[in-house]
Amino acid sequence: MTAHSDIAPSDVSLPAAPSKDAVKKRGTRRKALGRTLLLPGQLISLFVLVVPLLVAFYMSFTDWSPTRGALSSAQFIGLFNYEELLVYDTRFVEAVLRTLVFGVVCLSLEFLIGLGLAVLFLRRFRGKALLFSMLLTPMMVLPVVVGYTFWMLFQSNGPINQLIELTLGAGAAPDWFKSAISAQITVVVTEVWHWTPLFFLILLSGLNAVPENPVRAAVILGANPRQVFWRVVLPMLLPVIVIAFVIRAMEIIKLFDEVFMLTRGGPGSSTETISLYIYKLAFNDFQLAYGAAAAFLVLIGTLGLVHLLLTPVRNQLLEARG
Amino acid sequence: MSDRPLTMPLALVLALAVIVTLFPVFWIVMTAIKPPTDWNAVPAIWVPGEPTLVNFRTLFDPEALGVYGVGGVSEAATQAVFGSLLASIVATALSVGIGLAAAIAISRYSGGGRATPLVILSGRMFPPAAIAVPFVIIFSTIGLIDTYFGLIAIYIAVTLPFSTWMLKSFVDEVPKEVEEAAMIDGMTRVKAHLTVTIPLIKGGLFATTLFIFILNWSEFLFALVLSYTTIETIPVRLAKYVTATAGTLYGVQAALAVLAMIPLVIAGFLIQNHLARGMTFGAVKR
Amino acid sequence: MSNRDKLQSEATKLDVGSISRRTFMSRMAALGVSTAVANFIVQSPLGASKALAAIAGPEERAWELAKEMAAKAEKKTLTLLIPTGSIGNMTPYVDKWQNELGIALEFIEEPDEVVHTKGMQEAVAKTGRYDVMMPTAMSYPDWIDSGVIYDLTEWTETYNPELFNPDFGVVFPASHHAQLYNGRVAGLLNDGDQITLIGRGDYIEAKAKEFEDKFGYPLTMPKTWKQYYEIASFMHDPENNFFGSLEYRSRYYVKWMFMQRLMSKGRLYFDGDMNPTFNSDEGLAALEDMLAMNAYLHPDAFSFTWSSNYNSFGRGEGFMNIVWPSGYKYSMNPKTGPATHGKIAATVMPSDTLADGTELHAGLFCWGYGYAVSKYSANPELAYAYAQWMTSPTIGADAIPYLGGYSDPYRVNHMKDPTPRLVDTYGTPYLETLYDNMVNTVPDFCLPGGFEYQDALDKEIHACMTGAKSPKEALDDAARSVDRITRRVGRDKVKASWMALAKNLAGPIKKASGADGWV
Repeated sequence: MTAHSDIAPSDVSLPAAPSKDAVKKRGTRRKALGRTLLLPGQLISLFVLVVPLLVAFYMSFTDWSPTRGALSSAQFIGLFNYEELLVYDTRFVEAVLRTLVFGVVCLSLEFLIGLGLAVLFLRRFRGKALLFSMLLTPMMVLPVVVGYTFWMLFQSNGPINQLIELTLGAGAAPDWFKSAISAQITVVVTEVWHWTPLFFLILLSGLNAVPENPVRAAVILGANPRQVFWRVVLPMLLPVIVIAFVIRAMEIIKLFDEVFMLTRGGPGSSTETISLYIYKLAFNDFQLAYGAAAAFLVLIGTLGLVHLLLTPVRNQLLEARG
Repeated sequence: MSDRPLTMPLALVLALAVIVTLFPVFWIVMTAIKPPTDWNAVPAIWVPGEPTLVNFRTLFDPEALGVYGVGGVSEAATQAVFGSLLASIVATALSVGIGLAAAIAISRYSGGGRATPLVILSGRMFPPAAIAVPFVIIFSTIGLIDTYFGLIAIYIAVTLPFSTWMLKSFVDEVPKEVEEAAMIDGMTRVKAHLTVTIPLIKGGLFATTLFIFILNWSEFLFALVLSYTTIETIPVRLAKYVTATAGTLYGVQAALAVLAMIPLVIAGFLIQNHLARGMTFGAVKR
Repeated sequence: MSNRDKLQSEATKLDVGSISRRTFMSRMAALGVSTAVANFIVQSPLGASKALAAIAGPEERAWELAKEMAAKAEKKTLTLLIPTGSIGNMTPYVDKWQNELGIALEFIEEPDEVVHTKGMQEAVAKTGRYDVMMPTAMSYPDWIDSGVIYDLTEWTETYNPELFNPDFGVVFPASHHAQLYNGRVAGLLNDGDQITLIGRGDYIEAKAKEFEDKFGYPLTMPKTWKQYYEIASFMHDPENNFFGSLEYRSRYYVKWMFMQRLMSKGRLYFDGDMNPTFNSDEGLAALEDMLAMNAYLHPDAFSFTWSSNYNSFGRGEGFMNIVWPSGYKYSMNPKTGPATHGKIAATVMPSDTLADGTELHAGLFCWGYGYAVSKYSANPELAYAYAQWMTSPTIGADAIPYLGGYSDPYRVNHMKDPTPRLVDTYGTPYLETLYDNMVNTVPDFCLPGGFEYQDALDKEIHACMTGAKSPKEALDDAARSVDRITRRVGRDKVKASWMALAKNLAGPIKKASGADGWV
């Protein structure tokens, strides 16, 4: 809001009958105002976008870490860091692939469960509003709290194992954080619990927006409910589904908080995402230049990936522009 | 499309979904009111026989657990609560303010051309871990590490895409004619926005503010890497309690987690109808 | 007549027998000497006057320096970065520093695996928030290289903390590997962290006959790794929630179980050219030993932290445990060792038989906290005075037995001439055990990049223990990671510090590993 009062004096539009000149002038002023209003936002975006990219790019060609003295004494070592990362540091490449696999698995599950729940909510039943709110709760819990809570739930003497032993008999419960695969399962379960509500929410609002007429027409033409859903409703829902996937994909690439609290990337590095690995490199080992090279690759990679993901929805996001 | 009643099996599925959804929340709340003897009992205790608020007291008075003979909490969470409030509130106010200006510019003046909205959006794509590396390098040379100023600056930057896009979707819904009518009445553009546009999107502004607050309040990684000794936020303190090898303070951690959760759950329910819009940058309206 | 002269004359009187011990003690108290010092002097085999002069020196010189610096200091607070759980050894002296020097001591606690990171953060941020920092010995190389802590060598030359004195200095080789980086003093050790083997004395008595009938040798605490395995298998009784041993298989801890076994087999981490040596027959054998032991471990071994490990053992859930000296303290205390207090037997780490038939005794010095002085401190000499004062032979002996901290004996006099309180806490036999084990210790990777090395090793050992990798795969992968770290940190730099470290180890270990040939 301060932005408004700051620029107020520069903008005085004329109420008088517009001459040709005045229209032109007003057009210029209009543009000037637009530019001024946008300026703070643009500057800040530059600050998070361009500056880190440039700094990461520059640092990535040096060997700097605090153990090598002052920043100014950093030595240029060419492509050494990149060669290390891409050729020798299998942990980096594995973390990238692992993050992508987590993304595909979690998003598929979230989509399926979210869609199922959304379809259920098309039915008529009492207490719908309350149940709707309840189902949204996970989205409102802090990621660190989610991670911590599931860490407790998955303890070897925690309630999940208690239930498993109750149903499958004593000794059936695993030590979740001990083996790679079971630890990966805890990560997936946690993510799915946390973010299925978002799919549910988006898909439900999409379903509610599906127009009645085509559906009715299909029913009159003799389609059964299943056919109606797959042939009529789903295609109309597609844009919303794409948006949900894009948004979630953008978030899951960054996966860090929950895993940090849950497994710290372990056992070994079996649940280490790319964010966790960069964190370890840069902020545990203080290999800042090496970490910067990793960060730069990841920044470029995500930029490319997200813009690829955005292609189908770019116009949808931009459609309402004035 | 379908208004059929819920059949019994489907009702059971729904009930299961609700239970699974609420169980973790139930568990953390229960843990927060367990006395130390129940924290990590074998078999696990679901509902404490003697609920207590000692864990909450311990957050502000580390000696409180002494009555149970438990030590090891030496730092209160007071500073973390203060830090979270300060960083979240200031960053939210500024992010929404700057976002509102940008939203009006994009919606009404096609400000910055076609690319700008997407450039702003890009700020949200980057993994914080990756942005944090160069930022720590920059901040360490200009002395912004371990300051609220630095943390707030980053928070504004990374929430700006959300505030801009969410507010833009609200501004888009205000018919241009309303503002134009006001301008014909002799108002300047800026004044028209201040007295017409903004009051019309009041609800949206409120929702956006809470939404941005939720994002800032939950943020973890930047706070983790930028807070050394003088600043702290709740998520960072929570992680610290977990890593204390001196013994895991389940109940105290859970109490802090519950404390951290309460404002978010309230805010979340208040803006429940706008959550989809916020999360999808305005692409899904309701 | 100065205070010191009065003390000296009292000591002489005691030596010639003109006053009683009791009179001497009360006069010492009147002259402001701590009970710990007075006790030490009275008990010393050196004779009172010599003992007084020698042993009280580091404390007195540190105190003089502290007084001088406290008077000059503008900032009247000394801030310490310390690991969570260690504060109990420091709080008893807060009042003295406040009342007599006007210096307030402020403690900032961080989880122990975070202390190193906090120091590196300080190297980047240079906030000046800390005066004294308390890392493990593995932090010194990186901290010195990043300029966040002082090289203490010149101060130690001026104020002589008696680090290397044969009677009350820090036990060799810990005096070197736990305090020096490239031969320069980087920190003053305040915590003799080594692992030793403890077990249940009561079970040894009860099961002696049955065991001897079965295995053909008398049941004692194991002397060799082979006996350790056999005894664990014999004692293992999972149906009664009683397990052979409680050693660690959890992330972060499991590497030490491997490193210890590797040392016992006469291998160090690297050869003279910085090539990893753990991916060898000895390394494979160590991993196979560990895998075989998995059958006789506590089921929580894969998630143990030191506190949960101590608690499980204290509840009586196993026969043996590999612990830091604090673990012995915990098991002997009725509060933390309800099932074990008064029933603990202890021994140095088991030996292994080398190819030439000799038995090699090796220990592992792991963690091992010490005080370092921050480069960004406003009062570095005051900070140094604190470090020397706290780690002096006398105050150190006084500080160790306090509960709520995990400082363990580290000077010769702590183990060989213990104060009554030390004896109460550890018992004379265990203090002897600590000494016997410490003289054979090899440290952590106290080298530049040490934490990275150890993390890489830990990850692979853990993967092997969970069954994700075969021993060979795990060790080969670890060797590859370790080589990459060496390459990045700089081979020459790491090699120089490795040579300095390997030069000061116990003779048998140098001989077995071949290190005596490199230096």
